[in-house]
Amino acid sequence: MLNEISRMSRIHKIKKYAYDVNKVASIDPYNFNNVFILENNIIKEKTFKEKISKDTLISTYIPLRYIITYEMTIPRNLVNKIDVYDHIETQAYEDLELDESEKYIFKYKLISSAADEKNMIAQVVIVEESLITKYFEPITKDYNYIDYLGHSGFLFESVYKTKILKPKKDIFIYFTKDFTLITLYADGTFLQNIILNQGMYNLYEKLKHDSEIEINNFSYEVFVDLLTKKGLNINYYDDYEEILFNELSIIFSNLFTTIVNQFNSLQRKYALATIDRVFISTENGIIPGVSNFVNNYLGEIEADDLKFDTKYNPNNIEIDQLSFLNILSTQYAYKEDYQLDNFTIKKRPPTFFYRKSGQFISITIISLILSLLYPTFQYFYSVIIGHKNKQLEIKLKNLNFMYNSLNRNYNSLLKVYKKEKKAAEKKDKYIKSVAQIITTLHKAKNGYAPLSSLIIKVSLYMKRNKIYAKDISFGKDILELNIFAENESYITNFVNELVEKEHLKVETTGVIKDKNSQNYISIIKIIKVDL
Amino acid sequence: MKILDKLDAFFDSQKETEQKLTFFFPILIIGFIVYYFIFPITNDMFNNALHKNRQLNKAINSKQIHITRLKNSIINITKKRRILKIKIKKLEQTEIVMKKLLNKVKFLIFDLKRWAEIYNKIPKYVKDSNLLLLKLDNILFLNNKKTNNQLVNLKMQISLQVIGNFKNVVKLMNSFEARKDFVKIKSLKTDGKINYLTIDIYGAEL
Repeated sequence: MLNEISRMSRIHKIKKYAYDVNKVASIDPYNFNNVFILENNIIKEKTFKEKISKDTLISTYIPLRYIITYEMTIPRNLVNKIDVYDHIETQAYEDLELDESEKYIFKYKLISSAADEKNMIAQVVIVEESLITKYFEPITKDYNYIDYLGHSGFLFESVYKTKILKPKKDIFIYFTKDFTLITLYADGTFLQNIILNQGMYNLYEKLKHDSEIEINNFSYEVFVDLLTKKGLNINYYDDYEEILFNELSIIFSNLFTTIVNQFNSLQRKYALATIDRVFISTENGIIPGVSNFVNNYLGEIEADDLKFDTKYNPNNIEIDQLSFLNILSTQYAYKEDYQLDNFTIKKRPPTFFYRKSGQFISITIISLILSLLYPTFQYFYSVIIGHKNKQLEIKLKNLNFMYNSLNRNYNSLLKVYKKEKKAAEKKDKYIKSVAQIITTLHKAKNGYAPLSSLIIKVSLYMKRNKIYAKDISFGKDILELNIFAENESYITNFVNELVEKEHLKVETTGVIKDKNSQNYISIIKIIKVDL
Repeated sequence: MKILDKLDAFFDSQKETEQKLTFFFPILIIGFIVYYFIFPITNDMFNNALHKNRQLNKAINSKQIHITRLKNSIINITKKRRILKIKIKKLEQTEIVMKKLLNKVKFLIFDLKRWAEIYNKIPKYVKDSNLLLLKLDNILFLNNKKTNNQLVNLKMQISLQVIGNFKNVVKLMNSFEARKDFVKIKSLKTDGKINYLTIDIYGAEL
């Protein structure tokens, strides 16, 4: 998982560190409120409280009082066989009797000197970690980290790296209030630095107490002001000040005597035929006339002001040269990933995804997101469906309303239809009934053969055949005649005529002769047939 | 940032295996919390919402089908009513015709008043036929149920006893049978002196 996150970070080009090498801030180690920023190769001054963008590299350098310099020799044949760092550390603890309960930061440079073919010289710079941690606490508190913590002696290398100076055999002399730093570079390579416990304050003390002149209210600040404004340039002094100039010249001559001794010693030590250039400055700026003074003093050695910021400082911001060189060193260190000279005690943490904490938080958040993905989907989908359901409920309500309305309409229509149908059926039934009745009545009425007509018809045949009736009766559609005639043929003829001519259905009991009357009698039954 | 620094310091104090375990720990915890506490809630929400959605859609579809059927039924019933109205109109026309026809045969329809008039006219018929009325009876048969076989279900039976020439009796019979009314001679009996005549006057019940 960790590798995966790192790999993803690389794929998506997430910077491991969120800084821009073109933005460097150098905090004055003697006054944390003085901050110089190099942005787009232009120096700007910002106060400490002003906001500095997160991508600006934060740098400062270690004050000389916290620096312990140590030198030792290591046989050349051992250099590649031993752990040089461990060797130096062990030796330094022994030789310098360092407090073993304290933690020290060791930075060293192995120097090969032509004067010693068997050994290499290790120039070691030692810093007590707790001291500088405490000292730079306000910076780490404000910025959380210091990207670059330089050592004054190593800073001069940047003038060669940035090609401000061409590599030669150079000595850089830098005066602080309490110390004088002498650093030797040969062809762009650091050889040695010497920290003299004689600084500008020492010169001030000498001028104030050891000289013959007495100046009222002559404070250290006044001395610094004098040094940086008039310095060793006779032209800046009035006639009445000549004695002051002379005294100052004597003090500097004495100082340079000491320094020249150091030069000679260094020349011998590193078998240098000559020193080409000397650059001089103070933490408060250059000393006017010092280069001429040194030229006169040192003869062939070219002396110049230690001032390299001209190209980067178009606005002539007053910046101490170590701060400026610190900016260049920081920029170089981060451009070229050269961290050997970086004493920082609190490095800038990597960007979020490169930090263990960031990775842990990322994993936690990713786990949370992944595990919540489906429940979240479910939740939001439920909300969406819930919203849709509300709409569907409204739709269903409307449909129910429509259905009920239509149903009422339908039932009403159905009721009317049934009523109309019933009425129609009733009418139809009535019509059919009436039609049937009319047909039946018509048939019954017209189909009825009147009995009177039958009797008249039968009477006519009786008269023609001389038939007489004793009695006549009718019932159950049978006309019964009790008849008599003088001759039996009359009766038979009568029956025959009824059957033949009138097509009547006639039944007879036969013809019998009545003994009393000598007539022939018969009972005739005529079946009345309706149409 | 301080939290991150503290976390970084914490991880720096751990071995790599411990770090991996620490990294794995939140995954387990989060997984446990989410799938034992949150997932059941959201899952229930999700399933309930889906279930309700299905039910609502089903109900809506069903309701729409019912509405469509109902609309079709309304269209059908409207159509049927239109046809029925035409039929009713035809029936009304037929009814008018039937009523006219019925009016023509109204004397065949049961009408007690008319029967009473006939009954009242019997002495006149007897007299006009030169007969002497001895007896006149009538019986009403009004409770007979109308059936398909017997549509003419009501009748008034008149019994007569008359004295007179048989020829006049036939004339009397004829005066009955010549009427438009539905009259049938049910029985006749004569013994030379008294003539017994039974006449049925029929009427159809509408």
